[in-house]
Parts: sequence; C-alpha cells; structure tokens
Amino acid sequence: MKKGISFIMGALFTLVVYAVISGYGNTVIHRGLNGMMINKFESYFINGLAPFDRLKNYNILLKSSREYPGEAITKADYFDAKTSQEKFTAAKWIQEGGFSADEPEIFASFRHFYDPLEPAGERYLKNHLDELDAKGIVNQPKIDHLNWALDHPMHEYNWKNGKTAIISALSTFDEEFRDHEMAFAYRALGETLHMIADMGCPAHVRDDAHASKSIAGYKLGSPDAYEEYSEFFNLSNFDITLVDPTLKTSFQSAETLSEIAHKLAVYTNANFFTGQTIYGYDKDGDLVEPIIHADDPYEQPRLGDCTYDLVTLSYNKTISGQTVMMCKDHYYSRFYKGYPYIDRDCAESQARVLFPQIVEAGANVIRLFTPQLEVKISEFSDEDKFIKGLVKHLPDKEYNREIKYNGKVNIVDVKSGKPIIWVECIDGEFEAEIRRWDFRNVDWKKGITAEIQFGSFTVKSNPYLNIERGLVENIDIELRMDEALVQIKHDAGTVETFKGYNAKYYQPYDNRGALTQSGNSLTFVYNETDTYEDAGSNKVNEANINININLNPAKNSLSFTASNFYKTTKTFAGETEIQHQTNESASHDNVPMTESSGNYEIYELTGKRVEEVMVSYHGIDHELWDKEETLLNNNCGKDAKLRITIRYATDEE
Amino acid sequence: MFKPGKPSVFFLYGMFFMSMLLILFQCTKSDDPLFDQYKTTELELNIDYAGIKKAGNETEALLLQGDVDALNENLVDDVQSVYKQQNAMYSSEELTAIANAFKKRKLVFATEDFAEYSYKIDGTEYTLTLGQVEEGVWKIIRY
Repeated sequence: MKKGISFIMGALFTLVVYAVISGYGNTVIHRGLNGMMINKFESYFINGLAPFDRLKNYNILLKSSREYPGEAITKADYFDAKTSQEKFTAAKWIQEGGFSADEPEIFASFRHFYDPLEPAGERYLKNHLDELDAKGIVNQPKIDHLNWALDHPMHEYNWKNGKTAIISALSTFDEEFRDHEMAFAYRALGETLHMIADMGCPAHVRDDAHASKSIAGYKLGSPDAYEEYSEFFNLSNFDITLVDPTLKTSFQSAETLSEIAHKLAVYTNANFFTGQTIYGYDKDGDLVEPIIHADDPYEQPRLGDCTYDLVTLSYNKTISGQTVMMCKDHYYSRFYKGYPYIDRDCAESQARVLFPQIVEAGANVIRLFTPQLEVKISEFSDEDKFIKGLVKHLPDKEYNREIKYNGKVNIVDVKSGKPIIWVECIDGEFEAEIRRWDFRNVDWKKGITAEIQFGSFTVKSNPYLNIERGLVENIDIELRMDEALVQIKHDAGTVETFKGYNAKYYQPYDNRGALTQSGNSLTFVYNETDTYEDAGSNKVNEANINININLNPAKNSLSFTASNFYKTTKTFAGETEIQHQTNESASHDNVPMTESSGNYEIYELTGKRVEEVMVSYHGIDHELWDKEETLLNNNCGKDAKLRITIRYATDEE
Repeated sequence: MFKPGKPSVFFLYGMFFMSMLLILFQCTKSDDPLFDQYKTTELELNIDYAGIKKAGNETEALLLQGDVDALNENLVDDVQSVYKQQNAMYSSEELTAIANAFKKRKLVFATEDFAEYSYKIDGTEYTLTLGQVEEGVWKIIRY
C-alpha cells in the first residue's frame, strides 16, 4: 500500500513541477518574438506587398535547414556568459540573438533602456543607476538601448556590424567565410530585434530599472510584473495582425532602424504604465503618485483617462482599438484601496496590444536589413558563346554605399529550375564564355536566370528569354557619317538627341535626330544645316533625312522608306551658287528581318553622297510574329536594337 | 541507500512514469505553426523553489503575528514607500484573515526572480508576489 502511495505521490509531484514550469509555454519571450518577426516578414515578403515588393526578385528562406557556423552564447550568466562555436540555421541565429542580447545580464541591463521623452543623448537608464554612480558603486555608462544596438563599439553584435557582415559576405569569393559572416549578421539582426522588442516593453521606455537582485547589497530595482509574466506567454495565442494603422504606416514608410525603434518607444511610453510609474487621479479622485519619478511623473497615460471596472476592479483604456486592462487595485482591506498594480491579467491584456506592434516593427527591421540587389543578364549569345550581366546594389539609407558583389552567379534553366553553369562575378559584373552545348535544352520561351546566394537570400534576375519581351524601350541607332560614329540610345516615343562630328568638314551635330513611334511605325527624322567658311567663300550645307520604317509582323518583314535632301551652296561676290543638290527617296517593301541584320545598299538614294544605309536589328520573336501580334507592344524586346547606319561618301570623294 | 521495495524508490518510479507520460503526450513545438520549421532553445529554468517556500512560510508567520513592522521589513525596497502605508491600514482581523487564507496558498507562477502565490478569502482570489533580492532571499512586492 505504502509503495503504491509513494508511486502516486512521485507522479503527482512531477506533474505539479511540470505545471508550474510550463504553464505559459516554454519559449523565452525574446526568442519567440524574434521568431514571430521572421514569420511576419516572410508573409509580407511572399505576398509581395509594398514596401516589401522591393525584394520581389528575392527568395528568402530564413527557416531553411541550412546551417551557418558562428559564436553563440550557450549559458546565461549575470556577469560572465559562456560562449561556444555552434552551427545554427538563419532563423535560429536570429532567435538566439534575441536571447544573447541580454548576456551577460548585468552588463546588458544597464544599456537596454530608452526613454524617448528625454533629449537625444540622455535617453539611457537613470533609475537607480545615477544613484549608484554617485556613490561610486557602478559606472553609469550613459548609453541608451538604441545607440547600443545601432553601433556602439562595445557591442560586437550591433546593427552596423551586422550590416558590415552582410557587405563582407557579398564581397568575398570564399564561401566558407561568407557563411561565417552570415551567421554573424543573423545574430546581430537577432540582437537588434531584441532592442525592438524592448521598445515595446513599458519598463524599458519609462526608465524603470527591474534587475531584481542587488549587487554587493545595492539595489538595482524590483521585478517588473509585465516582463516577468510575459516571459511565459504562449505566443501562438496572440493575434499579431492587430497592428495600429498609424504605426503600421510609419513602420512601413521608415527608411532607417532608428525611425522604427523611436516610434515604437514613443507609442509604448505614451500608452502604458509600468508597475512603478502609475500616475493620475484614481476612481475616487485621489492622486496616485508613481513609486519612481514621483517628482517628475510621466504625463501619459493617466489613471484619470481610464475607466474603472467594478467587476474586475481594474482600470481600462482603449488603445489601438483594443480595450486594455492597465492596472488593478484589488486588495483585501476595508480601509485601504491599495496602490494599483499590474498582474498577469493586465500583462496579458497589454501584451495583446504591444506584441502586434513589436512584430510589425521587427518585420520592417528585417526588411531594412536586406540590401536591395538586382541581378541582370544583359547579353547572351550562344552564337558568339558568351554571357554577360551584372549584380547591382541599389543604395538606400541603411546601405548608403554601393556594394560590389563578388562570387558565384548561377545560370539557371527556368523550366527545369536546375543550374546550367556558374560564372564568376567581379565587382558586380560578370562576363564569361559559354558552350552552346550546355544550353541545348533551354526552353527559350521560359529562358534562363542568373542567381546569386548569400546566406538564406537568393536574388535572381528576370528571365532572359534571349528575346526579352515588352515594349520597345531602347533602340540603338547608329549613324555613320563619313566614318564618324554617332550613336544614341533612344526611348521610343521620346525625342532624344545625338552627338557626334563629321570628320573634318562638319560642325558637331547636336539636337538633330528624333525617333518617334506610332503603332507599327518608327520614324526617324534628321535635319541638319551646317555652315563653314572656306577661303573667303561661304558654303552652306543643308541636309534633311527622313527615314520611315514600317514593321510588318504578318510578313515577318519591314518596309523602309527613306528620303534625303542635300544641298551644297557657294556664295561668292553676293551671288549664291548651288554646287550640289540631291532630293531623292527610295523605299523597300517586305525586307525580311532576321535576328541579326538586314543590310541595304540604297546606292541611289542620295546620289553620290550616301553610300549605303544599313538597317539591322534583333529582338524579334518570330513565333509571336506569326500570330500577328502587335510588334511594338508585345513582341519586341525591351532592348530590341534597330540599327540604322547611313554611310556617306566623304567630301574628298 | 535506495533499496528496491522501499517507498522512496517507488516515489522515484512514479516520477519517472509521469515524466514518460508527459514526454509522450505533450504537444511538441512542431505542433505550433509558428515554430514548425525551427526549434527554439529550451528555457533553462533555475527557480529557487526553496527560497520561495521559505519566504512564503515567513510571510505566513508574520501575517499571523500581525507584525506590521516585520512585514514592512520584508518588503522589496522599491515598494516600501507605498506599501508601508498599506500595511499600516490593515486591521489585525484583516491580517489574520489573510494569514489564514495564505496557509492554503498555491504557487501559481515562478521565474528566477519573481513568484506569485494565490489565496482565497471568502471565495475571492487574491495574490501575493515576491521578488528575489539576493541569492536565496525573497521579499514581498505586494499582497
């Protein structure tokens, strides 16, 4: 009988211990919140909503099983935390950063406060610490959490160093080193997100020290009820979609970490009490003074702005559309109503409002931590056997210097998703010889992409279809006049200029060429009037060239009309003599188009002075042409090239 | 020392049995969609249950004695300014009522530095919280 009772007692004892330990979940809150920030970031990223759409060419798998080696804190301690080399996934590093930011605890506890109502530079923890500093017990570091997390040199895993690690990972050819850098970056991001979570913790933004244990007999505060209870909340019970609309807009428009952190701190400071900073007139009109900062209490929130609930004996307030239990004064006394306090119900009610704001802020911090890169295949030719492209960084306020990518670029077959080859990228540019054989199975309707990977981030180019489809945006026009090259890049529908000079007789050309697009017609008009003096004679040259190109998708051809007027005059003794004049035109119908070139001898077009006009272009999808789709709107590549070469005879001839 | 057949050994068997049951039937983290693809590190709890229990017993004794000064001494420093007044306002009957109710207290929450007991008076639940101020030394925050 005794044995049976002992057995049952043992089982019950274990159950009770388990219940006490795991009653609110067994996840450390900072790790859990960081995990929720990752989830929220990924959901925003996957949905491609602004401002996360700037990462539309990214594939981000923070939760993938790939591991990165780095230094982790594996045992917490007040003074001397233990570290060891570990291999964690990206998500785990970010979560562990949420934990390690608080280590060693005493050191961190002095630097994890930010009072947004104080002037910049004075937002650090003063409660207890100023007093201990004055007594010579501790040194007041005068460091607030934002500055600590941003770039403080004593904080290794700060935001700036994290970004530097990302830049380093993007700049190295050494893949092992890159993984180390990414581990560092993820941990630094995690420690920064810890700071964000603290900005959503009332005690951390209302100068309320809460390190419970004393040092050498000197007090550093008393436990903060909100922080103690929230440590064990089961985060899956919280609806993180309940984000304050104003805060959401400001987080999503923020361009720097500081903006996000400060805004969240202001919100938390203004809306929530801590157990020791409750202030205002209570339900009976009596003034409740805060336990700390009694001589200079926080003006907001105030007890008087809350409604008192007689059932729960609590003060309640609507914050961001939710009713929040701010504090209670439920005491067993007929004579004294007691100082209001924050219990588990209050803490949970407050966390329901604060956690969504924290998670939203954190998701946006991860957004800012991700540098914006663009990968592009600019040229590919299986005939000439080369591929060329770039990895371009678009600087922003967080990464304000251009990052030059070095490392592998994988060329991937879009249809199969398999890498075909990899090429080396140096300082953001890649150019390599290829073998046609490697690309024999590529479905060019789907094309190929170029992809880079750093950590859990993959950035890929738009598919290169060999012929990129879309509106004709850029047309290269090359005018060749008396061996002088005149080249312009032209946006269809706009008037561009071109510059050049014409050997020794002509003045520099300027503002004379225009290409216009209308439906299937491209019209290039060129006018010039040049003058120069020649041994006492005045010689005037005038030239007008009008070239009209009509693209004919149905026949896979183009029609070409060109007219030229050219006149040379000589003025002598007041009389003008026309020395040479041409006014001719020519047209060609159904000139077959190929991807490479059509080469036209229009020898009669401008008499002696024009030797030839060459038209060449590529960028036409023949298959789509057969469907008679509108060439310019649909079938032509964005970078289709139309090259018009006009060769003039030189004057010497 | 632990001979098979002794009640203490069966106590351990019971603990082992319940531990196995909990491991088998508890929800794993992979059940939680938030953490389905990555594991969080277990919280290493180092809760000073002995210290909490000792503080609970001492508080009970002081309440029974109605020793307001001693209760005040046992308050966490930070809150003395407000709770000293509160202690003075309690009548001896009230302190006795609290003390008697506190005899049947339950530890409902504990962390390394913070603990909460609940107790009932006339069916209404009240709470008493403690904070660890030095290693092994716990004091009252409120009740």
